[in-house]
Amino acid sequence: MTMKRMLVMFLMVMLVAGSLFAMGCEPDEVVEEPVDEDPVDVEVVVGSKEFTEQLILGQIAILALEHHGIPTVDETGLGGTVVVREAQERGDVDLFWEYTGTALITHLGYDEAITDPQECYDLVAAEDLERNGLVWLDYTPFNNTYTIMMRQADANELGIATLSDLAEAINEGVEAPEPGEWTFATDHEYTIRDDGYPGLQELYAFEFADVITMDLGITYGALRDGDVATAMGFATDGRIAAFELVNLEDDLNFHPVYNCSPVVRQEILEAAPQIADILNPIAAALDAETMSSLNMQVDIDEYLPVEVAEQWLTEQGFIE
Amino acid sequence: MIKLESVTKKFPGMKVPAVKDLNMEVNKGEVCVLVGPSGCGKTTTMKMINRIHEPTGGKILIDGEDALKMNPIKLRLDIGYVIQEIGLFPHMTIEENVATVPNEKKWPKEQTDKKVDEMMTLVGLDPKIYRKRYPSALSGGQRQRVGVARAMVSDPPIMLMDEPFGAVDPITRARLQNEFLRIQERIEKTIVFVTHDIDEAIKMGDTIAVMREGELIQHATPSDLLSAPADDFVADLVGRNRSIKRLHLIRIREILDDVNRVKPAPEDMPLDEVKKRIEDSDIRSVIVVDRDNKLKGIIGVSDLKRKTGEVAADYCQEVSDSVTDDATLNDALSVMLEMGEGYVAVVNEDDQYAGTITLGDLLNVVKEDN
Amino acid sequence: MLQNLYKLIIVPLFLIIVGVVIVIYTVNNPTDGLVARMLTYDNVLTALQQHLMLMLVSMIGAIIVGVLVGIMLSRPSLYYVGRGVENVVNVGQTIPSLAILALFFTWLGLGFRVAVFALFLYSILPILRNTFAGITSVDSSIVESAKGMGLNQFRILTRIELPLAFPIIIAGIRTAIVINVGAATLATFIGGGGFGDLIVTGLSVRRDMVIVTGAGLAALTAIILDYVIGQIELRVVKWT
Repeated sequence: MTMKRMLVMFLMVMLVAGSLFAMGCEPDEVVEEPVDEDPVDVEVVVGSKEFTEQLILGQIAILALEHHGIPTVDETGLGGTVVVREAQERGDVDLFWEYTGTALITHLGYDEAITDPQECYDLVAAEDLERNGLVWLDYTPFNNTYTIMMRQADANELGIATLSDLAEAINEGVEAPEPGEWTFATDHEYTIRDDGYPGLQELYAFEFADVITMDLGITYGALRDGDVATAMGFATDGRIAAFELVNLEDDLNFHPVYNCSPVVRQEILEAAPQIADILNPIAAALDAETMSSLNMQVDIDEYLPVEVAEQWLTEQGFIE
Repeated sequence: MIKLESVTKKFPGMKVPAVKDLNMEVNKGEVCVLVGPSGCGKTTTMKMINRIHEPTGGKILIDGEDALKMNPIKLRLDIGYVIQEIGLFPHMTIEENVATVPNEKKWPKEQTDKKVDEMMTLVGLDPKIYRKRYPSALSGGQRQRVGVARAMVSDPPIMLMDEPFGAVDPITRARLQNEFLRIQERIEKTIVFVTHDIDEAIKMGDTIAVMREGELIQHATPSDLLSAPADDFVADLVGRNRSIKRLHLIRIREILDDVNRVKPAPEDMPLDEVKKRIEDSDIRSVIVVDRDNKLKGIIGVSDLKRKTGEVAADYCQEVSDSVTDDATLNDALSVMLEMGEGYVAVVNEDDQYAGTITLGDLLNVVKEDN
Repeated sequence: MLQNLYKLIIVPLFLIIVGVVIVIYTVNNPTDGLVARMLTYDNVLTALQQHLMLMLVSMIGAIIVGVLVGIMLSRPSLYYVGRGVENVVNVGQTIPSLAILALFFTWLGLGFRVAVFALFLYSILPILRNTFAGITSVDSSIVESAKGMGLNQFRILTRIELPLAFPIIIAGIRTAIVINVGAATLATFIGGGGFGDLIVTGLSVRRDMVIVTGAGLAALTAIILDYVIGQIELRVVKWT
């Protein structure tokens, strides 16, 4: 998984270095725009970003739509946030699961993050429909926001449960667990965003001894292996439980909300309005525990995203 | 000087030895030419002398000393070496190439410089012009000269030469051969010279060693080789035209005294006298020389009719080529055939007129021999 | 003389000035707050320092090891081993640099040292291959005539084989630099720092100015290094 992510990123780095956004990610099949109103003719291109949760959500959407007789094209794992989003804006992707917080900052260009789920969703849904003709269906209860993690054992030993505890420990010079310094592993995005490390250190009034930037997929392993004392991750990642890590509670409600919604192009939804009825109850059933568990089944137990999606949908009675 | 005793060389993985039980001696100051078809072992034999190839049997004595027990690096530093492809170092200037062995021997710089100049001059390359050039800027003939200069620079008593004049056109080749023989007359090195060209062997060798399939068939002087080939193989090698091949053996100056020809006309000789000389001449023409006795041209009967004037110079016509007196009769024949004339003017080392020889003269030499 | 100076100093100097101008401009004219936060002199200098260290340490190591091993393999006794290694190297070269990085990450963990080590190993390949090919392609008649004139093995290597193989070795080094500059921007994925930090961070928040600054500086670094090596070659190789 990490390899694939890195490869895609590599391609992007090279392409950008060479031609400044002259890139295009065409789906394998050209999807014809539905000319008439007949829903049978609609073929929904389902995309996703390239990490586990997105792959599972993409498969869930595909299986559910197909179950209700709506043909789909599988374009899951297309690339990073920007790639998938641009594909959708071009009309190459019809549907993918996007996070409210991401859309707010990255796609709609807001500087300030929002920490209330409903407030964030309302704003994003309204703006995106108006500006880009994209419809946000109901959002999930799970909030895949940033989390700051420690190793479970270290957290217990040092009595750290919240980010305030962590800030206090660092500021009071408590000796850091392995590797002996209060180092912090993070991905690139988190180092720069307002709702990332810059804002975090301001609100909680502390600073890590060293910030090591790396690919998101490897922060969990780096923390487990003792390469760093703390790391950022995403709250619903399956590895948190599997690697015996713990999420420190964001007691000052710093991190913005990242609830997830299926986002559909308006014309597709108009052609097949039943999509909303199919996906809304599914989104409602995806709470944090569920998503975390699904992620773990893929990341740790090495099931395929499609297997995990199918099993869960069947268990929940969404498909037979 | 060089003595090979029962020398054998068998390369690993080969069934037949490349050189079999070879006994041979090369005397001091002599050129011994190893000749034979390719694969006969001549190059291998030569390369065993400086131990590029180590013999698998037998002994090699140099000045009575066992070469196989000497330090090979020291041995090689005292043996000049010129190979077929010349092997000039393309990344070094001519000067650096020639100075290779002196540098290995750690000569003082002035001595090396002096010797490099001397050697370059000796082989006919002006040091002022060529010292700083790279081999790629030289013609094939010039490279061969550098190769020879490089091999001789530290004055090694022995030189090994593997077809050193192989890669140039026949005219340049003949010139290089003649120059080399002229130099050799002065320096008297002991030389082992490898060629597949029997004409070159006859021309260059004091002795010729004919080899076949790793064995020495005959080792004799060129003259003996021509008159008494040891077997059919040697006879075949030297060919049917043995009389003509003798032309390789004789230098022009050796016959020049016997040729009775009219004296050359000084350029200011009055017309009457010129006419008289032409009438006396067996070739119905007369060579014209300047005050320094340098070749100026020739006047034939037809020139007298075509032109007007009072002295020889007015009628003089340039000659297209001449030969030096140390060239062989065969060289003279080549030049005549090339010019399409029955005669050729001969000049000495200082470029002064030395005489004229004709096809008839060559015929006489061949006749005498038979 | 003037032209020599121009070529050796002025061109790299000009490229450095271009880089400095880019940095000064972007630091002082950020398109928004995110860009301003990323493009500080501090961040850019840190990235530059890390990037140079990544490239220089791995390149110097690769040149030393690649040339030495290449020489060793070109010795007649190891020639066939060398041929085998050459094939292995050719295959190794087809592995994407990112895969090499990922491979070393899973073996050795993360950080600057692992990134340097991966870059080092990856850069060795073209240098080793070209050193071996350069030496073994020296005309055998040249080597033989050197041997016949009494040069020992070591002298033949240093006076004849290495100088003649030099242009090919340099070509290998230049290939390695090109590979290295691309791969060095990937070090950021395993916590190795460098201009990749700027590029990938810029990508993650869609800020072109950060991306262009990072990519531009990485490219300039490679161009300057390649240029300097090329000039050295021109100065040393005069015989062609």
